Amino acid sequence: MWDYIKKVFKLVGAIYTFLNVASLLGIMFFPFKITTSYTLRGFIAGFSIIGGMLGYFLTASSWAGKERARCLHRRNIYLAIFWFPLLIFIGTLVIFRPEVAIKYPLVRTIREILLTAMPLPNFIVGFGAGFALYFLIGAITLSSPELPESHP
Amino acid sequence: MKVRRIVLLLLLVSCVTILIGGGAEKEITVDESSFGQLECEIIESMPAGLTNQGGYVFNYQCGKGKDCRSYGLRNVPGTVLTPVLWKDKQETFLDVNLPECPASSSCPWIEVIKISTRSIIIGETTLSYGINKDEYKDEPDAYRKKLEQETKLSPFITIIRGTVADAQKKPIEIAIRVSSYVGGVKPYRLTYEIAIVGKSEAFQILRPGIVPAEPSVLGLIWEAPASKPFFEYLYQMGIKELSAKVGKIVVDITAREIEVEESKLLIVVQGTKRIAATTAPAYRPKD
Repeated sequence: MWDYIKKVFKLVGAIYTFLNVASLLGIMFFPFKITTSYTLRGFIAGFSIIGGMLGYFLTASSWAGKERARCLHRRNIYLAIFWFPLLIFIGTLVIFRPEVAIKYPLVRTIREILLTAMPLPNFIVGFGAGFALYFLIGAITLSSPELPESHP
Repeated sequence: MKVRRIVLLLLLVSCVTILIGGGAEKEITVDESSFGQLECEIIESMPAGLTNQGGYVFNYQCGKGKDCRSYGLRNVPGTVLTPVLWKDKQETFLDVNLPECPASSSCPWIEVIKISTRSIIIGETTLSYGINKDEYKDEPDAYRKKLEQETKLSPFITIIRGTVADAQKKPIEIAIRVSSYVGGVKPYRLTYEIAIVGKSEAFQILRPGIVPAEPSVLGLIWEAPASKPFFEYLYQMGIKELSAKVGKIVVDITAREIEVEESKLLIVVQGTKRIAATTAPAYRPKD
């Protein structure tokens, strides 16, 4: 296991691994300003770590040694997809805000549906965070110039 | 002379027995004094509180009367659906979703009354609300029951009444009283009363873990007395629901040994959704 981690670290390189960790922490802790619910924070943190780890290890293992052009093309696809789960993740948190719900009747309706469907919204937010991090970390990993040159 | 000695000896033995008995654990007796009390006349109350965090604004109020306590919550005008949980370490006072209250309208209260002879103390409670009912937290002082060993088998009466949001987010009125009494001594006679005490929807009486047959129907789960004899009695009597027509259900069972379930809940469900809950203690047969 430790050997595998070291191998992947070598494939990606120290700088890009550092960028991945920074993105993970940023995406994981930024929403902590929007919600103070410990349960929801737990879901965000848990799914972010799982999504980030999968993004790092799966992308590195699958794309090591492939052509750089193909890696960059896939990176662009990952970056394009990244915004959708991020929007779901942040959007759901914003919808929960009472001050937003008071202003907009549609938001109020969606908020009420979500609140009465608990704990489902925890999973929506969690999966949103997890997928967003999977694609973001995947994209950062694919940007690493060391990855195409590596031979797993 | 011999008779006098025997009488003196008997007197001495009875004195020793009384002395030893007084030092040992007090005998539990059935308390008949509070049997008639089914309401709570508030004689003292804590100052009404107003939460104001994260855009959630609602009132909370706590009062006490003779052998009883009351807890109330209501949204203020111009606020949205608010999930709230008010509890202390031993009891859940109210676990509800306060319905949306449009601006310039009067917002109804949801109130819980707890009647028992337990001593009442003032102490810190936890009022948490928002997403998952743990987004924001206040710690208001409220009347709480004192943690002490009961020496009397006094009745437990819990009333929950007022307006809460149902599973479709619409406000509905509920008014339920559950009571648990004990009579006799070995065998004990356990009496449970479940009654509608005001304007209220109808309820199916359910076992814990069971959901109503139809998702729109309200179900009532009283966890504390939920024993096999309790449900056998309901089944034999053909009792299934509590409504305006059948306003009161009385269950009578006997038991050699009994215990008190103090922390179990009285839960109102709609489909699989819990729409209101509060701690409702009761006596039950000891397994």
